[in-house]
Amino acid sequence: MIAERKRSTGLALRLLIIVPVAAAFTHLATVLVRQSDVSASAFTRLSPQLPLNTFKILPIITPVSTPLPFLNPAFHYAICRFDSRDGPIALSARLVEAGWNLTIYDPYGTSLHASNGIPERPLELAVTIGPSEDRFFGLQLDQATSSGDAERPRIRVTANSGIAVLRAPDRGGAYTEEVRDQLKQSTCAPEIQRR
Amino acid sequence: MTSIELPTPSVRPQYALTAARAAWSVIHRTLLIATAAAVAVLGGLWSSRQAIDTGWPFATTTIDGWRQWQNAGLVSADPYTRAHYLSIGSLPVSSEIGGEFEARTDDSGARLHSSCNYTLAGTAARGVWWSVAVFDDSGRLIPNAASRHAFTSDTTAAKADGSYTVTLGRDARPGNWLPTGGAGRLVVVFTVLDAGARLAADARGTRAAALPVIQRDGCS
Repeated sequence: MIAERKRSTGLALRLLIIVPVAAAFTHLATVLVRQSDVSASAFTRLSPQLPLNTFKILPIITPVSTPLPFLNPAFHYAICRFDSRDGPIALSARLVEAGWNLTIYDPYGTSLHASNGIPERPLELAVTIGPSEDRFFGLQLDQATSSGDAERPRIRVTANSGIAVLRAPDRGGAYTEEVRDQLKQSTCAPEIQRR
Repeated sequence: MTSIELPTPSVRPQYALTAARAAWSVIHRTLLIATAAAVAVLGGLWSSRQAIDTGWPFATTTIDGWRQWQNAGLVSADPYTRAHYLSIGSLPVSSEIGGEFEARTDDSGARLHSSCNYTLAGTAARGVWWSVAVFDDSGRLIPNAASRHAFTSDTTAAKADGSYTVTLGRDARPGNWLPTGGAGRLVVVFTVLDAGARLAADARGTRAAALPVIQRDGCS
């Protein structure tokens, strides 16, 4: 009887140590799985609506037209889904003023490059997105470099696929057409096609 | 002639008792191990969900009820931040060039709800672009006849000193009013974009200076 109690106490003590360790293991395993689960990601949700290697201007963000949760309705959006495995993608965008923003995301939502507009001065951006497997630019995956001058920086990004999101601030109904016309001037296309 | 009654051997009950004790011991151990395994798995799943949904201190910062995932969109982001944005399916503004702050409570810590009216009061630095948008608890925009869902530094009527107020409420109000009727629990998202030059990692905290204070004006 005493021996049995001792055994039970020993088991309970062992479990007191094992349970937190097993819980921590479960916790870490779950987080690691979910950080690479793209089934509900923005890229997965947007991809079916976006043509490849060209900018698409999204409709004005409303409760009916919003394609993503928590998508900021203070912006107009132009989005390019790119795939550079068949060759580099050239992207150009004009950040007209403060509030404009260009961000290039990989399928996991990581920002590979991000630029903001500057107050009272337009910023012309020229970005080349190259494939990663043949080290097109001699860069590691998920790296970006920039060159050129401050007025027209040339940016190189290494990524096989992802989305480029151009955000233009909504300045009110009177400016909507003007802002959307400015968004239409941005380009996203295979580099060979542009030559 | 007297008869002597010999004690009957009690072998059988002893065996039965021992067998019962052994069986109970096995059941007891099995239950203990099963309970421990359930606690470990459920505890691990629950804590990971909490950490991914609401963030832990090393992944998020909270300032006066405004929560920010400080490594949002960064290549060096921690697994919790990556999992958070992948699971909700939104596109974060990269922490390199701006900040996204989310409030679910007012300045007294009470949950934001569409049955109450709120005033957001703040002062933004000149040249800094910001926006404030209101969503329901699931990140959906709130339908309203005025088609108003956000204000920005461009569209807000600010005072001469740069300070501004934005009101949230069911009924129309003069000034910068965002309708919230019928939404239930609310989430307010404040976005600020850096002006021009990128901020060093240790200077990114200055973005919080633009955050408005959310005060409850009353509930119906």
